[in-house]
This record gives sequence, structure tokens and C-alpha cells, in this order.
Amino acid sequence: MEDKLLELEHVSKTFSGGKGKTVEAVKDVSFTVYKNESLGIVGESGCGKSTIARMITGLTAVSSGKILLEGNVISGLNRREQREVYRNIQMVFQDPYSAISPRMPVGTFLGEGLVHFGIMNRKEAEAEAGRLLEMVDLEPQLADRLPHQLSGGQLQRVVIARAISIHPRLVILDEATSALDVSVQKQILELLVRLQKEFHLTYLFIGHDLAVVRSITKQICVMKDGRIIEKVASASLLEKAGENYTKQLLSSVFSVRE
Amino acid sequence: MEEILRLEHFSVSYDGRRAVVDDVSLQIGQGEIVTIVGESGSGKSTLLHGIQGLLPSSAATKGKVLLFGQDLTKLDAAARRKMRGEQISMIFQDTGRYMNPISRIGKQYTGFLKQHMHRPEDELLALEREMLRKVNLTDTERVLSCYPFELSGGMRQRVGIAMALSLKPKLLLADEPTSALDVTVQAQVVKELAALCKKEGATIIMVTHNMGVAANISDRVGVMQNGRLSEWGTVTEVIREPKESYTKSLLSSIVELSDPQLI
Repeated sequence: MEDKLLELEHVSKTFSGGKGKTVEAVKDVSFTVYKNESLGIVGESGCGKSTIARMITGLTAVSSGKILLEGNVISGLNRREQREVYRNIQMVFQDPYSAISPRMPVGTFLGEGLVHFGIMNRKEAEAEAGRLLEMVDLEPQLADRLPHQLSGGQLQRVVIARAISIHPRLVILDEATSALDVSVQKQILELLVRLQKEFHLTYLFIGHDLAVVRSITKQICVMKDGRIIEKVASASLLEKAGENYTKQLLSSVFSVRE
Repeated sequence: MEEILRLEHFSVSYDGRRAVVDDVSLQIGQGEIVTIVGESGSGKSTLLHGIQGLLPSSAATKGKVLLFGQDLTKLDAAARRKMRGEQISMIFQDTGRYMNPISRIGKQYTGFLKQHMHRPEDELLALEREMLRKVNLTDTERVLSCYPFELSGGMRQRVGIAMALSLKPKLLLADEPTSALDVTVQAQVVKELAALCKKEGATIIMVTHNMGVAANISDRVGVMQNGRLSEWGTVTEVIREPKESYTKSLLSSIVELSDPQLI
């Protein structure tokens, strides 16, 4: 139960801004994501939450500190070593239309990961696409469609199906439901919860909407100006939030209830 | 309450077949804060553009848009342009996109005012300072000397609100005015905007996908679904005790902080 999957130890990231100026986007961040659990990261634009996601997936190098996956250091690897590691980490972004080539049929897109990592050949992968679509409650016939023929919610389901098709250890969801209409957002959240139980997935759920992040995570890290200023159990967020900034975030949510 | 705007069987179609806004009738009183909520593609932005007269020329409208009893759909382009700014003003989601990126805020603000009022430059400048203070941009000289990119998103949106209210419009149309802002900034700007409209006596029609915003600032709420105004009434009627099943399903989809977790 308490098995550690991902650990960040004193991770920092400094970008050089030209003319000798530097920007410290992430400052001394440490947290642990346990297996089969969800950790949330909440913060406003520019707080460094997406930079953390990029460092975990190896898209951005860490400036200091280390990142461990199941006890093995995964920060600072060379490209060949990265390939093996990053099979275990998949990412889902905000806009599904930008995640897929506009001229690629959905079925081909779904099979890409399987082919790339040598799990299946192209033909087997095409057949698998139908099963993956059913897994996320879509019709298998959608495999022949192009992205623009699907709604945003449908396409985000496709992106999620592809992310978990290669059985990654960790799925990072970066504002994965933020661009969707409320009714669709709730359905995607429920889908994520079902898939997590079915496939024993571990999520790192990044977002700006405290209510959404709270709804599907066990613990929340609140970020401000590159630092984690508070870690709080999601279930008792309202009662336990201690930092002023967290309270300010909570009070900024407009509720439809009285 | 005196009526300011009335729509009578108003419809908009872009292709001549499908009505994007479908037979909408409503009546708004002076000084009211009205929000129109709905999901993407429901026609809420098209409704706003239809009232403002900013639809593309290919769009066909039916029905009437009556501002103080005058049918705006019958006006020619020149009469509409004069009306915009003086009677009706508009705020968009990303005000920065409508600004000239290589011109200072002050110059753009003055240029905008000059189109509508013939007054000496120092009077215009005094008005600009007064309006910026009203939207809590107290360091007015710095804001006026900045280029748009030097301001934060929240500050640019506040400038947009200040400009829109400068000419004391009777009706302010706002299309997702705070959706691009961070949650804490959104909360401030939404409250400021509502309070300022009340103070200045302006009527506001705000389009938003955020039902929470609608619940907190509105006198009246409309729900749009597939181009139709499916429900219309006070916050109590529409949000607390909705009658339509669509409104109910929208409300039940909202993830709230006080809800049970999904895991």
C-alpha cells in the first residue's frame, strides 16, 4: 500500500532569461507519489506546476536535486536510457486536438505507443485500437475517424486510452479536464477513477481548479512562486488548509450552493 | 423597473439553415446584472454578438433586438458604430488581443475616447485616470505608460473594463470576461465588475460557462442549450430551484469543494 512510486528530492529548475538574468521556476520541491494513489498539484499560472511535469517526463532537465522512479534515479539520464524509463511515464495534456496529428485516424494514433515500444506490430495494434476505445466507453467504429470528427471530450478519452495502452506506472494529467464543458469534465473524472481501479494506475493530477483536483486525489500540494507551500490531505482540505494562500484559493471558488 | 433591452423571437443563423440562436425572447430591466450560461456551442456568444451587431455579414437574423424600444437590427452600419461605445460597450475574454501590441496603453485609451468624444486631451487623460482608479489600478501613470505585454492578464482585463465603462454605456456586454484569469484574480475582477456596474447604473449581460460566477453576482440567469433559452429567471429560480432537466443535469455535473470525493 505504502509503496513509493515516484519521489522528487529537492528538485529545482532555473531557466536563463538572457542578459545574465535567471528565472527560478521550481525551487527545492520534494514530494512522493505512492503506488495506486493520486497526488494533486494545484497552483496558478506561472507557479511551476507544468515545469515539474516536464522534468518528471524528461522533457526538461533538472537544475539540481533528483527524481526517482521506484527507487531508481531517472533525472539526468542519456537519451537511450530515457527511452526505457519513459515507457513507464505517460502524460495527458489540456488540449486533445494538439496531442494528435489532424490527419491521423484515431485508430492509428491509439496503436502508436504499442508499435513504438515494440509491444505489437502495426496490424495487431490496429486491432487493439477497437478494444482500447471500448475501454474508455467509445464505439470501436470511431477508430477510422479523424480527430476533428470527434468532440473534445471523446478525443480526450482517446488520448487517455493511448496513454494507458502501454501500461505505464505513472500517468501525469496536466489540466486534463480544464478545457472541457462541465458535464464532460465530470464524466472524464469518473472515467479516470474507474481506470485507476481497473488497471492499478498511479496519477499525478495537475490543475488550477481546487475542487476538481480535490475530487480525485488523496493528497494535494499547493504551489506558489515555484515552491510547494503546503501539503494537505484532499479529504480534509477545507478544514485542514493552514496557509493563507491556500485559504485564498479556496475562498476564490464561486459555488452554486448557498 | 424600466426596461432597457427586449429580444423578440430573435434568431441567428450562419448557414441559412441551422439556427445557432433559436427564437430567443427576453426582457431586461435597467441596472440588472444578467448572466447567460451554457456549454460550448450553445449559442451564448452568438447571442451577445447579435445584440451588439458584430455578427459576420453572412449571418442572417430574424426577430427584434429592442434597446429602449428602438430596433437595432434595422440600423445601418454607421448608426450602429455610433451606438457602440456610447450606448452599448463590450468586454471580451482576452482584452489584450484587441489591443495594439506596439502602442502604449495611454495612447490607445486616448485614441479610443477621441472616437466618441470631442474634448481637450487633458480632460480625456483625467477621465482615464479616474476610470483606472475605479478598477483598482491605482498606479495610473505606470499603467498608461505600459505596453500591453507589460501588464498581467488581470491588469489588461481591468483596463478593458475601464475603457468599456468610460463612455458611461447603458448596456455592457461581456463575453467570458474573467475565464482566462487565475482563480484568485477572477474572483476579484468578477466582484469588481459587478459592483462597478451597480454603482454606475450600467446594465450588464455576461456570458459565462461558470455557473458559480452566475450564482454569485446575478439578478437574473438564462440557460442556453442548442441555441434556445431553455430556462430564464432569478438565481433562486434557475440555480437553487431549477425546473428544466437540462439545468439540473448541468448543476449536478459541477464538482464542488464540499462534494464527496470521486475516489
